[in-house]
Amino acid sequence: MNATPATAIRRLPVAGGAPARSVECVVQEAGLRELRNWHRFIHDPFIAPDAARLDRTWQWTRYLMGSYVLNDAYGRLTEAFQIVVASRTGRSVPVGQAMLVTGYPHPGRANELSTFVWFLTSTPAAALKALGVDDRFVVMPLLLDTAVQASRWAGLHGRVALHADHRGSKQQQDDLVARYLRCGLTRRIELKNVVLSLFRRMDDRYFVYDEASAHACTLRWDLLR
Amino acid sequence: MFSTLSDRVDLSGLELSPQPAEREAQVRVLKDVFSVLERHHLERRTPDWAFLAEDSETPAVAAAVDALVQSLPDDTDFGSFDAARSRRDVTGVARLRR
Repeated sequence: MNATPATAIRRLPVAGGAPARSVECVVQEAGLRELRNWHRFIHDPFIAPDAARLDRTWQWTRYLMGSYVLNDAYGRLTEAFQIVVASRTGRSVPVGQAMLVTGYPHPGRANELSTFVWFLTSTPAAALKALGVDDRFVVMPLLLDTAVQASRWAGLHGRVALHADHRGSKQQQDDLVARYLRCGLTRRIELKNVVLSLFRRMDDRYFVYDEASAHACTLRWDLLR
Repeated sequence: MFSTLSDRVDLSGLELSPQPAEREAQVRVLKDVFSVLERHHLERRTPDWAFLAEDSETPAVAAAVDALVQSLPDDTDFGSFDAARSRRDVTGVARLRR
């Protein structure tokens, strides 16, 4: 099943670009310093003031450290990744980032682990322009591709899961669900009301890649590796 | 690629100060953390998906992380693209680990 090499992409498609135009990119790990810079140069000036952004209140540095504390105790691996491109002057500019935690049970398959996508976001076009990048890019599917590869690097065969944000307007939520489905994620509606613990049941907002859909998803982007 | 998901947490990095007052404060903080962890385990709580954001934004965690962020080296941008490119490992990812 897994003929796709478990390597990160090296090129990023330009959104709406003439036939499959792409630019070089680097998928890089992000620590506290990189996430601090995200806040300083992108989040605070461009995302926080935008009421339409679901991520406007996110605190990446705190989430990273919080996850280190809360998930390391369970042997789960917390990783943040940024996809960066070059500005006109050769500086790195993140076009999106994600925080992944590997080691959660795969929704509906409690005995198998997966990589959980806790947070993912993309850089607003205005921020890209201000930082010297004129193009816009296809980002979310490539952040999910990175999650699939992270799952493979941990020996989990590409299994990925996420839980759709329940905040925002109905329109925002519907848009989010539509985008996840376009990325080839499967919505596990049948898990609604399945008992998760004594005090909690699952809802219908879990999305997954299983091994087969992860393969299909990443195969599509092999030309970018 | 990795035999385990995560390395064990190395608590030997938690060094206690030789100053008694500072040492007492450090122990008090760790005691609080351990109390929270023990309560969580005893109650067998399965938190809602909002827990990570909520827990990470509690005043104590927020203040501690903000203090840590303040101590980071200052940057004027995200660094050189060539430098990021040169850090790629066999997985194609530019790793921070040395």
